[in-house]
This record gives sequence, structure tokens and C-alpha cells, in this order.
Amino acid sequence: MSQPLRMSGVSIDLKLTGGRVAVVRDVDLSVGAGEIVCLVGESGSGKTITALAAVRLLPRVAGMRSRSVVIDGTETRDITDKAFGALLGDRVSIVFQNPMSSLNPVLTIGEQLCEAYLTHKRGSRAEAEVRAIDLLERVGVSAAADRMRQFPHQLSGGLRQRVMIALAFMCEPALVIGDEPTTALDVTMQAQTLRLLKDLARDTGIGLLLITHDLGVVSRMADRVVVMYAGRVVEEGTCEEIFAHPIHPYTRGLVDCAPAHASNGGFLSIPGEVPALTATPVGCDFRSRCPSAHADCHREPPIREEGARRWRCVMDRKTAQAAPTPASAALEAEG
Amino acid sequence: MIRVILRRIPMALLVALTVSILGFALLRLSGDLVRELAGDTAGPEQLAEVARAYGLDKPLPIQYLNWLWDLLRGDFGTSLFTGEAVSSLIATRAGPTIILALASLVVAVAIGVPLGVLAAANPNTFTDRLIAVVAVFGQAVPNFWFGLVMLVIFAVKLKWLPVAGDDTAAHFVLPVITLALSIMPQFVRVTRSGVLDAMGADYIRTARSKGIPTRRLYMRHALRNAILPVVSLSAVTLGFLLGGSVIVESVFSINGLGLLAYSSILSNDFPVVQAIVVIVSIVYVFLTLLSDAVNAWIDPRLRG
Repeated sequence: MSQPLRMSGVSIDLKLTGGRVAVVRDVDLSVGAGEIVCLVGESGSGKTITALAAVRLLPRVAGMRSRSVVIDGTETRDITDKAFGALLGDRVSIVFQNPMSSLNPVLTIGEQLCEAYLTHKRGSRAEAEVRAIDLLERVGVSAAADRMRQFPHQLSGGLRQRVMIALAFMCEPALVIGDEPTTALDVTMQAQTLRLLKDLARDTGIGLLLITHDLGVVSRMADRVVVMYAGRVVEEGTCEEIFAHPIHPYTRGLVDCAPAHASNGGFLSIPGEVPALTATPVGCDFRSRCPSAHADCHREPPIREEGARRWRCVMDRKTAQAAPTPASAALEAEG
Repeated sequence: MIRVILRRIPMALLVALTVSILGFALLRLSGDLVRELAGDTAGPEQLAEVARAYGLDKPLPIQYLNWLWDLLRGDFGTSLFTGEAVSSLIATRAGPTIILALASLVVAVAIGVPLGVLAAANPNTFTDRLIAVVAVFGQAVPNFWFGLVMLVIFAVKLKWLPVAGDDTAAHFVLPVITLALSIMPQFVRVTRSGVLDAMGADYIRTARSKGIPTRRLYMRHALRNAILPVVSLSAVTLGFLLGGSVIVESVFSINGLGLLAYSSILSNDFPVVQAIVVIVSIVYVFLTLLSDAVNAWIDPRLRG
């Protein structure tokens, strides 16, 4: 089975009134078959736009360059939008953040599910309906046959997101991208929906790329974690390693800020903020918030590798892990 | 959908009733009907006689109820000048206006909606600007001028089409084009903004992410959402057109409702004016009801 997603050297800029702004710089990202990869980072880190770039759903103002974007064994870098359309929804599909507005209000659930199937698969409407009802049942929608005839406004948010998930799996894709799929749901629905997505991904053996800023979600879902900061990947590794032994100062700050780690009952945060996109400093983007920053950080940091583990920092593993974390630094400063 | 209609019928009846009262009252307030009917030279006895003959001596509410009662039985009275029954007068004059109105609406929608979609699909490009220019031209150019220019070119110079009258389909070509041009721009604009709005919606991104081809994206996913205001606009426009266009009807010598209303107003033929006002209002009310029903059929959220 070929790798569901492998993209390398992806850079994206936005044409704004002030000129071009680089929002993603030289990102490599891959998802293996049967693997759940979480793409983590705070708002503006470029995680969503990176995923949208993989499926060519970038806004009009965005421009993208890449060395390669391979989806399920097909190099898509140079193919036309029309040829790409044949992969979209078929080999790769996406579950968006807001289920309330992501379904077409004037078409029934059944019409929308069947349309996705019939766009790519040869088959009758009846076959599409059987598949749709089967999938709806698998994602836990009761009375699936009746739901098929209903319109989105007749369903709750949680149900609509289940429909969106079913929609994503209609054509048995190799890769499913979840763009913060549970952010808009209430907490009780979040856990259920994630469980569902994970089970479905495991059952079908697809690659799942999950975009989130919620480390609780990451620890429950991910096989591998990719951390982005200011448009670059700063660290990646297996879920256990990232949580147990984070290396990059930013990752260490993130992990320490996760509520489970803030054992003293307070909230931790990383002081400072993400550099303005227009600033694009030379050197490490995190240096303004990094307690270990020194003169070397004004040069481009090297990408260090240890097996599946990669991070982008002047410090090696030992030095980095011995350094104070940004979050604890914040506490000391206040304390 | 039937539920939507049933729920709105009481309101529609109320509106129709209100309009009939207003129409009746406005006409009575617009001048001394007895004096008009009897002529300037009439003495007091003659005036009283005329008033009695037309029921104008009774209090206004009674006059209204009498008139309404006749109206409900299909009796619109008789024209004061031709002596013809108003109902048959309107029936003969309504034909050309209905043809003109329906044909113009169909042409305007058939051209305006696709142009609107095309403009929305290429926002702020040359195509979009060109369509905007056509729309502005259609709206800015006066009907009578455009109609006359068309007449001179196609009827007088080229002799492709008849100059005046309403006997054959060929007679309607130029007036339909003239009228359609003036109402089309609204359809372009409403469609363009509706489709633009829809194309920015999340569900379009979803459909796109399913690999649904662009054409289908527009026709099935966006237009279906954007068409609601177009339906409402069609109803209002049709109501407006059914009232008759005095200008277009007079330029092309079409014996329609517009000219009838115009001449009846000038000659103070109040039974005719009253009948036209009431009929056109009821047509409006009915069309609004129809457009609500069509919209409910398109958009399930309006079925409630």
C-alpha cells in the first residue's frame, strides 16, 4: 500500500495589500497508511493552511510552492486542477471544523452522501444509498434510512459532524484530513466523535491527518505528532516521545501548558507571542520567547534527526532537555 | 409547501381587502365624481339624479360594500364612456399585457440569471465588468428611447418586424426585448451577489473537497441557494409587468392594460380604474404567495 500523503518543501504565501506574506515555509509532512498524525500548533502557526494546501483548497489569495506533493502514490505537484479533482473526495477527503455550516442546507443528507460517491465511483444511486446508510450506521447515526431524507437543519451539531465524517469515508479514501473536527462540538460530543474517527481510521487502514491545538486530543489520538510554529515544523516524533521527552523549547512549553501537566492547579502559558508574519526574522522564529536564546539563534537553526525524531534547534537533545522550559520560566518570573 | 400556502392565505386575504379599501377610497378622494359625471353645466337636480343613479348619494361605507359585493360576483360595473362591462373590457385588454409580461420576464430571467452566474464565477475580471456595463446600460437607458431606436432599425429600415400592433407573435418581439432589457439588470445583480455569497459558504468548500466538478458546484450547490431572492424578484417584477407598461405599450401601439388604465384615468372612468387597481393588487398578493411557496419548495428551512 502506498503512502497516503507525502509532501515536501511546501511554502505558502498570501498576497495581501501590504505585499506577500510567507505563512508556511519549507514544510515536510507525511502520513503513513494506518497512521494517525496530529499536526499541532497555535493559531496562525500555519497548520490548517498546510493541510488545505495538500488538497488544493487554499483561498484565492494564497500561492503555493512545493518540491513534491504525493497523494496515495500520485505525484500531484504538476497535475491540472481537473485531474486533481478526480483525487479529491476519492483518494483524499477532509472533515471541516464547523458542521453547522459545512453541509448544503437545501440538499438532503442522502443526496449529499450519494453525490460524493457517484462523482467518483461507477455505480447506481441504489448502491450509493446502501453505502451511505451503512456508513451512517457505522458512525453511530440511528435511524440512518430516515436521516437520509432529512435536511441538515433537522440534525444536531454532533449528528451533522457524524454525517461529515461519513461523507469523508464514502469513497474509501487513503487519507482523511480532520481540520479541528471537534472544536465546534460540546465537550461530551468531542470525545465520542474522536473515538469514532479513530475507530473508523483503524478499521479502514487509512492515514488520518488531524489538525488540532488541543494537546488532550493529541495524546488520545496520535501515533505521531508534528509541531508547527510560525509556519515551520519545529519538532516531530512519536506521540509517547513528544509527551514524555519533548526536545524543542516550544514543544516543551506546549506540553507543560497542557492542563494535565499544570499540577499545581494554575494555568501555565508561554510568555510573549508569535512573531508577526510580516516580520519573518532570520534565524529561529521562537528565539524571542525562548529562555535559552543566545547569539547563535540569529542564524538559521539546523534540523537535527535521531531516527524518527526531528527538531529544528541549535541545541542538541541533551542541552535542550536540560534547559529551562518557557512555561516554567513564566512561573518563576511571576512567582 | 401546501402548509406554507395555507398558513399565509388569511394574511393574503387581509392584504387584498385592505388594498381594495385603499383603492376605493383613493378614487373617491381624488375628485367630485358626481360633478365629473354630470358635467360642468349640470344644475343641483341633475347632480342629485346622477348621484342617485350611480349610488353616489349613499354613505361611503355603503358604497364600498355595494361595490365589493358586486365585485365578488364578478361584476365590475360598466365603463362610463363606452358603456361596456368593465370585466369584458379588461378581459380583452389583458391578453396582450399578459403575453408581454410573461415573455419579458422569461427573457429577462433566461438572460439575466446566467449572466449573473457568469459574473459571480469571474468576480472583478473583464467578463464581470462587461456584464456590469450591460446591466447599467439596461437600467439607465429609457424605455421609450430604446424602443423607438429598435423600431426605427428593425421595423422601419430593415423591415424585418411589424411597426405597430399586437396581432402576431412578430409584433411582440421588439416590445419584449425593450421591456426585458429594462428589468434584466436586477436579475443579473441579484443572481451575482447571491451566487458570490453562496460560493464563499462552507458547504461549497465541502462540495469542492468532494471533487465535485465546478459546473455542478455552481448549478446544483450555489445557484440553488442563490435563487431564492431571484424567485421573489420574479414575482414582484411579474406583478409590476402585469399592471401594464404605459410607455412600451404606447410606443408599440399595444392595446394592453397599461394604456387602458392610462386613458381611463385621464377620462375619469372610475369603475375601470378601480377594477384595474383591485385586480393588479390581487395578482400581486397571489404572486407573493406563489413565490413564498416556490421558495419553500427550494429551501427546506422555509417549510417550518
